[in-house]
Amino acid sequence: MELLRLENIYKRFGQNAALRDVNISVSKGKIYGLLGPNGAGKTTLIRIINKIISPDQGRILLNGRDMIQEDVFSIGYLPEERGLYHKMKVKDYLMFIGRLKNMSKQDASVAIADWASKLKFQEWQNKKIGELSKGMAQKIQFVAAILNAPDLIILDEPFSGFDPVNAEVIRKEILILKKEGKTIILSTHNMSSVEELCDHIFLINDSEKILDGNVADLKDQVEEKVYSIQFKGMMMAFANALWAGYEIIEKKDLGNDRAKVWLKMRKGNKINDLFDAVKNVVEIEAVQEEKPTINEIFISTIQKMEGGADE
Amino acid sequence: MNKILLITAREFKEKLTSKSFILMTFIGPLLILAFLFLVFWINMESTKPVKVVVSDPAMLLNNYVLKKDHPDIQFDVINEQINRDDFENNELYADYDLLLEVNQKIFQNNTALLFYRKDPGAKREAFIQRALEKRLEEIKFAELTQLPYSKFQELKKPLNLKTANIKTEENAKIKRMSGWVGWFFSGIIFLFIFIFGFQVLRGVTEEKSNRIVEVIVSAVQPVKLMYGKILGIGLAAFIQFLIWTGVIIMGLLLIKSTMFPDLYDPENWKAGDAIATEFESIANQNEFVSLVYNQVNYSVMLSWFFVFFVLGYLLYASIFAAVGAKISRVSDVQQFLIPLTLPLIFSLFICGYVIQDPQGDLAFWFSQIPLTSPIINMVRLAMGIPPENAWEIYSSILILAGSFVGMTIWSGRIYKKNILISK
Repeated sequence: MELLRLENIYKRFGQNAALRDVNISVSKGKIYGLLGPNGAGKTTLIRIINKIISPDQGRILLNGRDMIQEDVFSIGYLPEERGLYHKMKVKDYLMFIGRLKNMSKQDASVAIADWASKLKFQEWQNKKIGELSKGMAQKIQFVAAILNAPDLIILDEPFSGFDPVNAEVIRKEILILKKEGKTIILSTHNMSSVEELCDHIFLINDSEKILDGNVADLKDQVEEKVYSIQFKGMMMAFANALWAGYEIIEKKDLGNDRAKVWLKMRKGNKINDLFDAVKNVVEIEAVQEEKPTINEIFISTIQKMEGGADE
Repeated sequence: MNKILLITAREFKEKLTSKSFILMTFIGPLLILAFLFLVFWINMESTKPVKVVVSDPAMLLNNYVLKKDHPDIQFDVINEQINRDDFENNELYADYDLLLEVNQKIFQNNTALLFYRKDPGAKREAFIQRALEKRLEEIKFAELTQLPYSKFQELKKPLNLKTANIKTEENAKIKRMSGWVGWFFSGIIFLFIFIFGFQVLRGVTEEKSNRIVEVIVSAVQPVKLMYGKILGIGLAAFIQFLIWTGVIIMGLLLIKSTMFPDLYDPENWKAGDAIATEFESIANQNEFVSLVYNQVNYSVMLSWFFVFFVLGYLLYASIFAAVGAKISRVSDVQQFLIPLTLPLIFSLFICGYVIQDPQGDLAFWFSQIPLTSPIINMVRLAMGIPPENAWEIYSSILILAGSFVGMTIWSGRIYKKNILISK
């Protein structure tokens, strides 16, 4: 079920186009990765969704109707560049944010206590934020973004600056939020997180959306598939057997006369043709289709765009 | 509105609990009281009676300078030659502050010598000169004519030029002094706008540079954040002013009860001699004391202060907020402070001209310009506004309020546009 839809969004800052004809659709209960190089327009898009800035053109629909200012309270937003009021106590700060997000005092108190117990900062609640460790302060920022239990959560670089332990805590919480039916948009350069967490990605480059799809589908859509084959036997014999019908990308000697090779099919060859070509010269131990990582998809798509632009 | 109140409350609480605010709340009025005490004390010192030994070996003065005792200056005539060494070293004269030498040929050379251990000050010096002149005139007059000296006094009575408003009969001198009281209130307005406007400027820039602002504006519109900040800091300023007022009033009462328990007892105002009326009485010598305790209508001044302080602060704070939104680094804040408060500094300077001519063109126009009117109007109000010119005050309030509204709309736009730009 569609939760958020952006239609034909345009935004300019002076002479520079920040977003051009961006259309996205976000369904409930999924995690979306919003990817793109620095300066692509991701933060602008996020700010538009949060109604911090207005688009020059285009529509934003939430639950099928045009979004209004009050709708921002159903969005939890963790900006990339996020600060805190260092002189405030943790509890007071979270209460202040909760109240700004239309929570009653009582609801905010319950939510603060709940998150303090989940993220283990009960004993820090009455400390000033300036006294917290960096990791603890980041937890507070995360909690502030989701305190009012919003349906849509937008996290801009949520793992930046986190140590691995705290990053794992946040990763788990994101998955729990998804299980609870929340919809999450994750803008990050941390591709392993995207790989692990996201169901769907939007790739924005140079103010335009250039890729939009389910993560599994995008991996399947790659034109030239890569296979890995592990075998026992002579590498030279293996290479000679392949001849010109395959392109070896990488090879690895595993020792004890064993090796692993990554290759692409050429001239319309299929996996069966590969078997036929090498089965008599080496002993095949394993064959696997190597799906591209999101990072590879990201880089190849951007490079393809830039190559196209150069031409 | 609720959001503005939440932000106002946060700002207010943060200011109220900050060490600098607490320190300034009590140090500020204590400094003012210390200054007032110093002025009073210096005045007190200058009104201590002094003793003059008059050396009159030729017995020209017939043993007196003043017929009646004067509370400030006591003349003791000795019909002997007292030289400087005697005056300086002889214990007989140790109680005397001044030695007045009346030489034999004083009627020819018209010269007398006055020696002091401690400079008596211009007022006392003039008093002594005048007293001796009068006494010599009296002696000469008796020698030359048969008329009683009182006739001569009548003849020589100085003209007293009293300048007063034709309608209100206000005394121009007192009015000018009241102008300085207004100037003092203007100074307080300047001080508070300077301190708290700077805090708005710094607060906005700090929020921007520490990146909290994006978190907040995702829940509240930037303009509301700006209004909340201005109101919260303004409220803290107002509370601080109330505390200042309370502490200063209590301090003034304490000073009055300890330093001047009998100063305003009319019995103490009586001059000892006819000529003393030509000079200033104790109360007049303590013009400043009299001004502080008797002549300031605090309730009226504080009411107008409230109006001009609030409107002036709101106008300047919205300018500060807009500028703050444009600055990305807290370290850059300082350099904007003086240019932004320049109209106020300029107003404080031209107050001198306003006091000289409170209904003149200069006073009128600067009382209407919103950036200068909070300062200029306090001076004009302290000096009294003729009823036919009362509209000038109301028009300046309207212009100031209108400017504030216009400025907040304009500042709000600048604020919204710049608050997320950090380059």
